Amino acid sequence: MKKIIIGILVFVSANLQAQSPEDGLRLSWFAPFGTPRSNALGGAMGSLGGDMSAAHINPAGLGFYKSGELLITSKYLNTESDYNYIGTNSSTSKSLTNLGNLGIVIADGKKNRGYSSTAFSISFTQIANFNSRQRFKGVNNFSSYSEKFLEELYYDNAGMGAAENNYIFGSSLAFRTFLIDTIADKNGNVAGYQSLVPISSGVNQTFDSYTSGSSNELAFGWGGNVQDKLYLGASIVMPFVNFNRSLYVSESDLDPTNTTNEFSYFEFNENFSSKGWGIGAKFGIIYKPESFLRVGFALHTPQLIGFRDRLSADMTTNTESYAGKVSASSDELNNGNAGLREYTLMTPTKATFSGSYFFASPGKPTQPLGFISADIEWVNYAGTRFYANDFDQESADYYDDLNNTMKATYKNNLNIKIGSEIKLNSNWMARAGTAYYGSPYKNEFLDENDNVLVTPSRFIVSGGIGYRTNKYFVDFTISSATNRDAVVPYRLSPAKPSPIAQEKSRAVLFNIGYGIRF
Amino acid sequence: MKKQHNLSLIGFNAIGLLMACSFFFTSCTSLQQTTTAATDDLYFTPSKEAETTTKTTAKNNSAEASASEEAEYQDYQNYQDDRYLRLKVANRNRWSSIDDFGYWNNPSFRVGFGMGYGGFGGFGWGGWDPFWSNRIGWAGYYGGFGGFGGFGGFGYDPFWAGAFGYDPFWGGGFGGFGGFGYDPFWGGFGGFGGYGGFGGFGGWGGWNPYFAGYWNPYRPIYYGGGVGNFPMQRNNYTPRALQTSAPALAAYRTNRNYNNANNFSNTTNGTTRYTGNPTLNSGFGNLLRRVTTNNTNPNQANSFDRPARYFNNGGFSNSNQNKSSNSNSNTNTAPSVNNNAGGRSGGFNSSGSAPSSRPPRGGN
Repeated sequence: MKKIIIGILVFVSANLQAQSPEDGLRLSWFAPFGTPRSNALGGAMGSLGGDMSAAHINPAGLGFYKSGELLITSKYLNTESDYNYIGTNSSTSKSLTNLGNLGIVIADGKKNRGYSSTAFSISFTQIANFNSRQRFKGVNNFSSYSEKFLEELYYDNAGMGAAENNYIFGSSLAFRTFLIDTIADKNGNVAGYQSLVPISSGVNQTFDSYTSGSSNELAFGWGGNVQDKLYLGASIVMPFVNFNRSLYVSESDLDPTNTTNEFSYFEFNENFSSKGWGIGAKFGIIYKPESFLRVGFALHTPQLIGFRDRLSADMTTNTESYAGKVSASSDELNNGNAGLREYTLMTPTKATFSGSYFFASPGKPTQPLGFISADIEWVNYAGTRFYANDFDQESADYYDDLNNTMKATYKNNLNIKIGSEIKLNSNWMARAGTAYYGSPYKNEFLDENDNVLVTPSRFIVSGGIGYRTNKYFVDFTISSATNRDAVVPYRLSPAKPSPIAQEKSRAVLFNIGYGIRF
Repeated sequence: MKKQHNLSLIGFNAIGLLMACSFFFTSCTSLQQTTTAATDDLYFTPSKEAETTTKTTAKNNSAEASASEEAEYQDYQNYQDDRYLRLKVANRNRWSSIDDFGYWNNPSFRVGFGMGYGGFGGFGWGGWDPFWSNRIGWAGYYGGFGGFGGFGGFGYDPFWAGAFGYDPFWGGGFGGFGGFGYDPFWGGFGGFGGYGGFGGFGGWGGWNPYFAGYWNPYRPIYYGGGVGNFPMQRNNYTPRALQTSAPALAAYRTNRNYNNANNFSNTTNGTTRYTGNPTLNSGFGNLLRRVTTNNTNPNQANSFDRPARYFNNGGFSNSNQNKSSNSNSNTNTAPSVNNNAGGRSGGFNSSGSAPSSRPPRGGN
């Protein structure tokens, strides 16, 4: 009865409530969530096993199971972010509670065809959560968001007809609302494009982005134990990704009483959603040369994820005496339909090397009192690839360009995870862990004087306790993640620096899990 | 913000309550089981057979144990033989090509036979294929096969499963999954992983990076490619636009300059220039063009700089320009522009399905 009540509590707490390189990075550079035990150990589970997170980290760890297990977990995540944009500080906060893991392990503890034991698992895990809010603002007299529209038309050598109708999610809206306009030569031909934003006198810029959704994995894992020495495993993983972003961008005249400079404000809204699912595989091996030592290796193949994205946008611009207040939307230019694109994304390969040392009292060397574990994870962030599902030259060119950009923008890097657990007595155990995720960016974010603006990284400190009997277990974890990153709200051509917002966020995770052993 | 703060507090309280309840229940239980040492698979749990063996060790001797292992081994051999015979009976044409069963059943490969959870390969039929979904033609034939043939991968044994033994990591049982697409060389042969549980049917969809028609990881996917277009040949399409790459992508690659500060010392109208940074003064000063000059028009009495891009001069002109409404001072000669440009902004079909002309200016 008590187990049922605890299970209900966990369940109730579960849920009471333009394509760019960053799109690829979103699916590779994050500290993946795992089970509460895994989270408490900083994710350093590569050589441990006996935990349901094994199917997602190193499937060989499933080979340690000799009894079945049913697990459900819930987590509460609170994220607070600070931004500095052109000297102005802003803060945001967002929190949510949801399901963390749900899974079952079916173990066969008997010898079977050379294996001392085998186990099969089905588990669903939310490995990344995209709920966040990025909001920052500042006074800018160096560049304007409208310049990205200018450059799009400039690089395409676009005539007026194209400017009106062929960029309906951005430049065409700017053109139709007179945020940008043509420059005519002496013969009246289009010689270029100009923005109505008076940047030299400065404008108030505001960027506000709500993101939601998550990246989840459904894993079918298998692990085998060869004479309690060698453990082998593999899992077929199906990623399910749902990402939504609502973006608001505005620029307004620094002096609202000035009605003679032909610019008052513009507001740009963009709604973007991306949904995809796919398949991948993970393979692993753990070797236990001695009872106190384990070493492991896991390879995560690239995951192939088919995406379908939808996009719509609208803009309102007030250019005062120039054209007045004008609005335009992609819906009205596209018969009410959102823009649609379909493509396939291949995530980077990951390889994890891991080791763990189990310590015991000298009198009872076979009864460990705890362990310390470390994982080193190699990720090829530059390996993310996009493939067009539309079979035409234009799409091909675009995705070629995007992939080249991925290679030029990101690099390989190592993530380090360390965790330790100590048995307090036969039932209770205490855990602690830490993890560091290095920058995935090939280049540093330097200003014009070569000063480092921000060094992106993710640093996690975690701790937790667990209570375990032969019939069930409860784990509780608290972790704090400090993330540093650079947010580039718009990028400009080589001759002009892109603005940057320095981001520092702290995410606090409360994670509880309840498992039944059978 | 205050509302959010309150929501956060509620969330914290909920978690706190959950923790308190959990500890309450677990504490109660612990009182009942204080002397029970919990087994933990993470550390080590003896197998059920090992436990049994331990209890009956005194009754056994080494000869009996050896006989037991031999019997188990022989059972396994018989199982393999029976299985192979059943396969041949079921479909002689398919399996008769592997008559030399003894060769393929070489002990060095034996361990892997039938290890996995075979039979899941059936999912391969009609399985989802991210490359060919919503496609006609190839998709109808190969997509489904390739899809979740991967479940045959449960027959996978990373070292020994391979019926062929070609590739210790990807062969055989995993070939079922490889059929969908990982192994660039042998995925297509994964069908023979059927020994390990029929997962190999997925092998029909095998991905081979050297056959553009299936899927080429180095180039975008092309419909209608196939072996006929081997290798990596594109279809010849008439481009609708001269340039479809978003300039923002070029900026990623070529612009490593960032700034998080204003570079003007004066933000008043009109006369400001880069005065705080000499480098910027020379490097970026020409990016800002005066598009409206002081003149007698009362609506344009102030002077201010606006960003502009010109088709000539690399996008930026060295001479001040007036707005398009004032063409007298502009001496640039416009190149021919493309009114069919665009249409694929950001990978989306960005040509509106309801094209129209921009309404006339409504300002004063």
